[in-house]
Amino acid sequence: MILVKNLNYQKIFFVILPILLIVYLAILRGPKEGALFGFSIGLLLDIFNPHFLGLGALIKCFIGFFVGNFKETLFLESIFSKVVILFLAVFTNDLFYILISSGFGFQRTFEVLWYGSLLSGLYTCFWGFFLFVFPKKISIRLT
Amino acid sequence: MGWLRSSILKENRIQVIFPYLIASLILLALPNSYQRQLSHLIFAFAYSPFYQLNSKLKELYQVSQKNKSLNEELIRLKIEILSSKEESLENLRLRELLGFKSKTEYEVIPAEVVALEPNRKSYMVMLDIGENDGVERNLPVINMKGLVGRVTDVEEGSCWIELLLHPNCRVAVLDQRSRVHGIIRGAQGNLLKLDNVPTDGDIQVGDKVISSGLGGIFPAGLEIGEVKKVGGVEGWRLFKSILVKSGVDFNQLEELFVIRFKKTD
Repeated sequence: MILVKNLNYQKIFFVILPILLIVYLAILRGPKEGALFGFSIGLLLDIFNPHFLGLGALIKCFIGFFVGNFKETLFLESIFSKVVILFLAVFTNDLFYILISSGFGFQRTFEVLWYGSLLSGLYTCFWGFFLFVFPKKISIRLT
Repeated sequence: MGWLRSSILKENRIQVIFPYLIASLILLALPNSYQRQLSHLIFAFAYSPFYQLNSKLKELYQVSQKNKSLNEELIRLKIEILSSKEESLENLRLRELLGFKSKTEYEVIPAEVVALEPNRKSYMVMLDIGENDGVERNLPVINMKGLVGRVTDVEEGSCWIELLLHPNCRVAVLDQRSRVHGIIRGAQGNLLKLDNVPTDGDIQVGDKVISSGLGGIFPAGLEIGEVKKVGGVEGWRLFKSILVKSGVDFNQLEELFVIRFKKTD
């Protein structure tokens, strides 16, 4: 119940959807594009919290870059591994953002990760699953 | 993870991240005021088109809703006009059949109170319209709440109104419910006295009193007020003593309308 209560409209648009897009595009296009896309989206989201302008951009840029490096590996052939990467991306994003913005307040970071990021990660995975499955099915049908 | 490290290092992919890293660090190191200014700038550049689009869409939706409701209102009013036209024609036919004279039509001239009689007990007010606007003596004056009085003196650009409370003012009225006739005149304060109602006249508290049209000055149907007190039924009295509360607040007269008669045929 706590997990469901913590999921709101703001979280969907400011956390889940951006990460979903970054991971999806990074996997599709590679590390360069992943980094660029991560930085851009991060910067656009950072303006809502100007005190940490650049922090979200930096973290998301790294996420985009590292996920993009998986592009050419066989590891990403399975949907399951993509979903796991998605989950890790949400978790990493939240971990670093909260850790740095709270001045390395581990207690606060743990609370947010436990009560918020866990659900955000699962929720992102749920939508990510459809995002990864359907384009593949469509392309199979077309070929 | 060794393969990941080697792939990143081997192909010098790590260079990709440096510009972003530097840019991010610069942004983070900026003073708060600059960060805020830059945020506003990015916001204006990136989001404002969407906000504008959103507001335009909202506006469009509101306009479409308003248009819809106005169309409905228009249709309703058209139907009402048609039905009232039918009723009007029917009324004309019936009046012709019965040999009635054609009804007098009225037009209203809006006016504003510009002066009050210095001696407030004389119950006179001055309006900003006069002969030039087609005002004549004895024309009735109303506001949204009912009959206010009549025109007594007319000048070129102004006229004096004798209020209903004035001791000289008399109006032929009737009880809207029982159709009992009487004469209204000023009593005390904002109250009016309904005279000439026989003791057996059916008048009850709460009845609406309207002008009867008798006397030729005030047209029939103008609202005068509501019966507040009925007395004088005991003993050997000829008439009832009835007090009527006017709907008009005579202490706060601002916009009034002078009714001018207009013969149609």
